[in-house]
Amino acid sequence: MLDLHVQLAPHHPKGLMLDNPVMTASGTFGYGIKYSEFVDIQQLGAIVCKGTTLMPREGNPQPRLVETECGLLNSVGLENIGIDAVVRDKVPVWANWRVPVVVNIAGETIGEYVSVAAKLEGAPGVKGIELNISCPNITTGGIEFGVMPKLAAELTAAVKTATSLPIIVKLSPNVTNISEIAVAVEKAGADAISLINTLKGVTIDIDKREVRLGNVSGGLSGPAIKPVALYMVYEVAKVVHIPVVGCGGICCAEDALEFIMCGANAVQVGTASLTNPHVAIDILEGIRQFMRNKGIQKLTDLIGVARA
Amino acid sequence: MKEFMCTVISNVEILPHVNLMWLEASQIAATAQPGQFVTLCCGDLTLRRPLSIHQVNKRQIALLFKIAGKGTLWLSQRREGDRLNVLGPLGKGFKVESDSRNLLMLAGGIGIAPLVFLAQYASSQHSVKLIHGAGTSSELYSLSPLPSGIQVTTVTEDGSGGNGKGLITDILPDFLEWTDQMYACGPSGMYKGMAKLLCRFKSPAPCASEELVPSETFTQDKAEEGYKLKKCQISLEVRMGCGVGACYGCSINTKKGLKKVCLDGPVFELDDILWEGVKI
Repeated sequence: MLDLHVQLAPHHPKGLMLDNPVMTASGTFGYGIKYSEFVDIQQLGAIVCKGTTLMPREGNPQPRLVETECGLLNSVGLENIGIDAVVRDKVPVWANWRVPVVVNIAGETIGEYVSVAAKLEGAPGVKGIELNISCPNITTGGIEFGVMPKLAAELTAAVKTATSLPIIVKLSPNVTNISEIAVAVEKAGADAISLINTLKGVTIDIDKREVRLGNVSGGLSGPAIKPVALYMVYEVAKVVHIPVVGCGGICCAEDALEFIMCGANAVQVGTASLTNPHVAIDILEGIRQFMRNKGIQKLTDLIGVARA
Repeated sequence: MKEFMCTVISNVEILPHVNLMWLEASQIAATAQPGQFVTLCCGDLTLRRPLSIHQVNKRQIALLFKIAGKGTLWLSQRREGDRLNVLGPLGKGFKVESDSRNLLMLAGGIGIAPLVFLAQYASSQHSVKLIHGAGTSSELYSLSPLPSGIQVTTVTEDGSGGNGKGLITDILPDFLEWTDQMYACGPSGMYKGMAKLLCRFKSPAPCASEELVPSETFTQDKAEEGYKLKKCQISLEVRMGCGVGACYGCSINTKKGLKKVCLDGPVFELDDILWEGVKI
């Protein structure tokens, strides 16, 4: 019998135990509800929902998506329905799910993050909070928390006091030293770290002689960023003592296993779900197959095995 | 809505750079409504490609698409027997009001695709007229799949074929008195032209952005009639991500607030679109 359990919040009283390490990445799976109509999402390790702010946000102008070589550039700009609508309309659905839901939250001030976290207190089905300090598509707030270790730590500590849920802090790759940020949020009480969010990018339409995205720049995701993400997971796992969730360009079980062997305790599948809604399930099955083939009983035996 | 592996029955270039592909897709065929679409996984490309459903025939669906980039090029190269990953039917399609008798359909170029399905669906209960416009005669779609009894008018921009030279919007005023409901699919320039035209019909005072002048001068009575008739549904095309309302990639701002083209559309009321927010 294979054991794929992973604990993402070992130092937290409630913990965040996942049946398996395959999660969806925020922003690519909505609230999970649409996909639940035709994908057996209850099999997954966890669903991470769309980034949620205190008030509804309209997001950025069209176009918001551009396909790039082996990737996708997006500037959705955190369009979302706001925390009150999430609690009112989505939480009752999640309450009946077996799969744990992690709510990704974002804001422009520490106060906003704290308010959003507080509103999730006691929400049935919600088993954790992912702090989005790394969205590249909003002009104020968000990203600034992700690039300055002191601010990232202050934010983490503040949210920590506002919630009894475990907190995963999602880091931006658009920094000079990601390890420094990781250590800062760990010290401030983060239960786990997820990385990476998208890399900043621009693309030009040479016929029209203009930028392709409505918001000029966007966040690059997809297979193109996988080696960058693996490097950053490797570096962060070296310096923190809390679980690391790897994310960035994961399209198949082999990709997920690379992250796990690199030091990730779990993985998030993002852009690949847009291409194939079943991909997270396929990845989970592929990991099981790999373990059976190699005679590995416990997934935890694979975490970080490629590290020196 | 579900994901299926569908076998290609045929895939033929029926016009220059335009393919007609029939797929074995019994479950999609059984539930699809005119104006709905499917998305297809195209080889290694990251984004699925959305295509409106062109025709339905028992267990099969047809897709009509112009080769406009990597995805549609890949699709055009599929052969009989190939299997494609198809998600659908998706979105909200055209609505025909129960008291509408005369339906006018406007098809700009490849915009004919969803309107053939709508015409097939509606022609038994309604009187249908179709205006089909294209750049040049070789781009005019063969209208043989249309049910008999549909009156078709064709125009070409260069005057090389069809019933006349010009744009759909040039002859549209001639049909406005007749029609109860309008349906359009075409390039954004066509929609913007229609919006201006119908805006003029709507109010006696000209719109601020008025540039087009209808081919006749209309009396006040006709303008009021035009107001009643102006309701027009259009099918929008915006770059899509997930196709099911999860990624917020295709949101547009409308007079009724933010709408997702993939989930709340692709069919919208022409009158609800805020054109400055839609860059197609």
